[in-house]
Amino acid sequence: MIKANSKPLGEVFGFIENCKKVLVLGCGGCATVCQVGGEKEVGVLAQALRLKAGTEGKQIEFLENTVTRQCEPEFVDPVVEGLGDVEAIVSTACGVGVNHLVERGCPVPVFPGVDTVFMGSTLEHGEWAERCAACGQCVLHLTGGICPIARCAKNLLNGPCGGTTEDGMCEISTPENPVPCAWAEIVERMKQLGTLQELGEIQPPKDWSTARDGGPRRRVRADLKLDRQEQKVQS
Amino acid sequence: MAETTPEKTDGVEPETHAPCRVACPVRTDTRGYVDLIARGRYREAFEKIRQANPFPSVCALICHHPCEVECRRQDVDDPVALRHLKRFAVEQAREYRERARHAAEITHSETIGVVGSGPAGLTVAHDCINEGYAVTVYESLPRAGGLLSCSIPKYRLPEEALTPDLEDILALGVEIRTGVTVGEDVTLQELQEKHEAVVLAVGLSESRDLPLENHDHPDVLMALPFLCSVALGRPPQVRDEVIVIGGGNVAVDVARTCVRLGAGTVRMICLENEEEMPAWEWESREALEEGIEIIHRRGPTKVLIEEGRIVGVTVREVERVFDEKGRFAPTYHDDRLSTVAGQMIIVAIGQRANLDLLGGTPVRLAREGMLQFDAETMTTSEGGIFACGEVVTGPGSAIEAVASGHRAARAVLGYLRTGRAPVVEEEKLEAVEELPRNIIEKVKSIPLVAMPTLSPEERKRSFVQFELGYGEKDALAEARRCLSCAVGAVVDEDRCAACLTCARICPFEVPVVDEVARMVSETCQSCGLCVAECPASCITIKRFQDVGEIADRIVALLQDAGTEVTRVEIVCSRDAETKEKLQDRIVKADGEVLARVPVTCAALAGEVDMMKPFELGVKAVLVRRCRECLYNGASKRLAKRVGRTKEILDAAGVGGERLTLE
Amino acid sequence: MKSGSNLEKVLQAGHFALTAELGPPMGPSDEEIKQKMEILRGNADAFNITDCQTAVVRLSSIAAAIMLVQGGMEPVMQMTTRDRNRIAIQADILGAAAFGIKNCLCIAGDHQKFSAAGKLKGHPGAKNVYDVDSIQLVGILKKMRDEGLMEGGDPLDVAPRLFIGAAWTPMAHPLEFRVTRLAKKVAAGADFIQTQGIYDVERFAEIMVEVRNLGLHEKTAILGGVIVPKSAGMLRYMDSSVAGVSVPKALIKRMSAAGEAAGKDKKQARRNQSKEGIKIAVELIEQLRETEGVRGVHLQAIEWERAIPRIVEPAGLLPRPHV
Repeated sequence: MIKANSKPLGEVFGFIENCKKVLVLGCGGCATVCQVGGEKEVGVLAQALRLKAGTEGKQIEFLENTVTRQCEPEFVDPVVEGLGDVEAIVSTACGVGVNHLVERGCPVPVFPGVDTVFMGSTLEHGEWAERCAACGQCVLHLTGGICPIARCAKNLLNGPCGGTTEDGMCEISTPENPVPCAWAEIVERMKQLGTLQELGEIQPPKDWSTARDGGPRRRVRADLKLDRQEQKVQS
Repeated sequence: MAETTPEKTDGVEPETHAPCRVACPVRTDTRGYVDLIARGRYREAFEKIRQANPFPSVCALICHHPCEVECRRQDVDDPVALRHLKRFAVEQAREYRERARHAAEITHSETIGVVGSGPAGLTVAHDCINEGYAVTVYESLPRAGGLLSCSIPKYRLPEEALTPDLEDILALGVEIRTGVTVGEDVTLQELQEKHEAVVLAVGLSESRDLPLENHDHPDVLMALPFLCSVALGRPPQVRDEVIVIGGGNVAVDVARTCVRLGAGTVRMICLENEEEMPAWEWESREALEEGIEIIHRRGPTKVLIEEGRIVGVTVREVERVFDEKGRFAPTYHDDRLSTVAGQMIIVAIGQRANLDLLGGTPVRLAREGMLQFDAETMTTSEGGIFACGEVVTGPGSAIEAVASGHRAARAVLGYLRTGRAPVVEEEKLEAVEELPRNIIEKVKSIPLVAMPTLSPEERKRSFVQFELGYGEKDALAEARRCLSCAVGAVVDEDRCAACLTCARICPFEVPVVDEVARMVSETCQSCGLCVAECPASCITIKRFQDVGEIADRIVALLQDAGTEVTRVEIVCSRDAETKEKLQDRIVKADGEVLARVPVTCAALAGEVDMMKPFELGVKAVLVRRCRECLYNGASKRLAKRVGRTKEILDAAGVGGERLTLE
Repeated sequence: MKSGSNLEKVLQAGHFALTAELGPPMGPSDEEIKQKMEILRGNADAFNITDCQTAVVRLSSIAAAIMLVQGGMEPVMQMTTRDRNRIAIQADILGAAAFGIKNCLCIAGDHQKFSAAGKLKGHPGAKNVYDVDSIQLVGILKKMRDEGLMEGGDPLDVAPRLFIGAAWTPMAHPLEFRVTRLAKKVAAGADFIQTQGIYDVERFAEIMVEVRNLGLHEKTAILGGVIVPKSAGMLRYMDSSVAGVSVPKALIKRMSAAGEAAGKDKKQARRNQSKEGIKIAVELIEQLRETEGVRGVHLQAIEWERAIPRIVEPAGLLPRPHV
């Protein structure tokens, strides 16, 4: 799922310091799971902002709410419609949530409470790692199920650069931030699978047009989506 | 227990209960009152006890405590000393109890007559008057209480323990007419005419005789009359060597009474071996401690008399006590005889009812000494005449008599409202499963707090209650041993994100997460660590339902303080030795005004709890852990949480150094 | 002849080739480049111009390479895939070719994080490109040269003449893949290979057996890398911290001993170690020369270009052949 970090308190406070009433809006999806923006963290951020407002001599009221998922119209529309005299929203969802609130016609500014960092998995409680870069053309069948796009610092597609350390770490790895070499892992994995020889094949330059490089992406399932005409008929 | 699968309805697991409660004949919320004691709320603990049982004071001393037998703590070390804790709660509530006495309001014209003022009869009276019916109790003895007042020796149940229970019931407005023997002073028919319902709770008031050769000697006594005369202050002269025949609780009572009356040697003769002996294990152990000899597997045949005085009893060896089907059917080796010396014999081989009052009434007997009785409706063969207590259940303990009384009361009340005795079903409760092995290993052992007692030498000399009772410190320590069965974590499934946090941080590996987290009630220890960590804030602990959020408690305390509070302390209550330390309170010390909020585990304190006080102008917050946490990892997680909160406080301009962890 | 470069000619003529490294300055200083050129002139067949090595901003490798061409020396222009996408890379290659640059070494380049690893602030926050990897870059150049096509398939007016090089780290983890990786580079079109600095020639020789078994040494020209050691500390650092480089303990000891011989005189100790380093470099060159399948050496004296003439002379590599 999507992972994020809390933004520094001072930064978030700076967004809303001139407001009188602010809604801290959490998300019950990924942001909850990665411990950054669920009901609990909404409470923590709201409380921290209250303290900050106090020390800054500002009178700001902070409301708290958490919706099931901020990326769905049905979940955010009631919030957007019921803002009353709320002057700004601080969203603790991933960046999708902020965009989506604006897209759904939120009449007041929406500020990010978190920095969205990556799509990844949980290594253990309190540690997550990037595992997919959403490049739009999966190569995992070529690389033993280990993604060189998401996990190699150089997106290499033809094997490890010369920077792999003896213990299989990437050249950018540091003791504070250990980064395993994805290619060392790929080689190890494919050796186990008995498919190492497949790596001998040269992978041509990748078509990045399906990734972010191709521009903002949209996904349409024609079999699920009714076009305007059909929608009219249905209603 | 493990073989029964709990019934499932709509995918929701049936509510389970602590096994102590399920084991109690009156379903006392044992865990509930122990928890209230642990939180210093003694009066509420007492009220919880009395809710199920109008004889809290009596049971605190003499209950055979089946609750302890089922206590899941015994798999870890020893069961929680529930009866001792009950006694503590009762003692703490003494004055409150006197102040709180009040008469019940009589709202019905129908009245109820109860024959017998033992625990069963008085329970009926108590329950019925509380429903607005006037009750008259007829007691043939000169004082109320039945066997509680005249057969249980004072060293086990002193008068001052029985009195408050009786006073409570009398205060409700129950009329107890002592010295009135139904069948002699008034007839059953007269009672029937006077009352719309009559309850026979006459108990088993007579001792069974043993027709031995020479048993008519004046120094051959019957147990109940003997105990009764001691209780009424007219103890018979005991001889130097006394032989007590029987191995039940009454026999032990008799033997120990004889020791206290000055007998030099007391010997009990019983058919059974140590394990089979019907007396409670602790009763016979205490008897042995007091120097009483117990001669097992012997049956008396003859009282030996020389020169008109008893010199002993001839006994034969027992071949077996029970037949293949486990029924009482003793056989003997008639050729293996021996003599037990003694100058006085007291027969304590069982009790029976005196049903003389039924003479000439239509109430039918089933077999000798037993009523014809419908246990489902608690009625005799005669409509409007009910029965309860030992006269229908056979010999049992006080709490069983109370349970029987509750059922009879329900039957009577139903009968008075509808004209027909309803079927009164026993309250069925599902006990939580046994503690699994892996949990037993994870639960930290805490030694049982021993009940201070008089030494056997001291107690032999008097009828003084030999258990001295827990002090407050003892009671709190013992109450905290409770595992809080079946009141653990509950997940709001609608909000659960299945993030696995609870499963990963639980010291007991309780949660199972598939679509959502599910808390396995038999393993949860109600520590609450998951509540503090859940990112969806979707877990609650049943045990803490009435406690409230820590932050809210702090706010309330500061609002009530009436003065500026300088410091808030969130304190683990596990080291508390007085109830004052268990209450949210304002403390003034060294020029500081502290607001102290005790919690069952400091790791329950969340970031918001630690930050809230600063919003309210408090200068410092202290979180204090106990000396040795019961929950693996809780202390470390708390330290990390405090560290994070300090960073937030720094960022907020409050200053992280104002938050400290001890 | 693919490119007609001097390096290509030297190799084709069967000479033991020699390249040396020239690092561009951190400023628009043609003087510094010219000074280095004069130090190096005549001491190698071609001169490697690094492309923002360790991701530190320096005068561009293309510009420096043009200066060499204009000064009558032959550059090997390094090209990383870190900073340019395939459009910029091809445009730069065409431009370089127009200026007479004939050798191009295709590498992925150090990650931008390294720019801040030393004393410099660098640009660790830069966005890296890595549109293509080094093997793909080799393929792109080959396609431009041999098919006259751009990577996307459009025809070039004129195909650039290039001698295409690639780097190889024979002794980095995962070892079992390193020869395959070389094979891929060769298959992609690498005309010559410049290896990572080698100190443990014995181990390298073992790997070369495998290389020869696959015949790779015949399909490409492998130039053994020699990094001139400056001090025992540098050797220790290379051994512990540079991936794919292992320095035998004996070498480190030797270097330490040279320093210690100077007693407390630190200056002398440095001089002793420099001298010893040059000696070691000479020996390494000789050992590599004896390794079957090695067709030349690539000499790196990092920020110490003056050492080059002092090595190639005693190594018996002078004068360089005219072909």
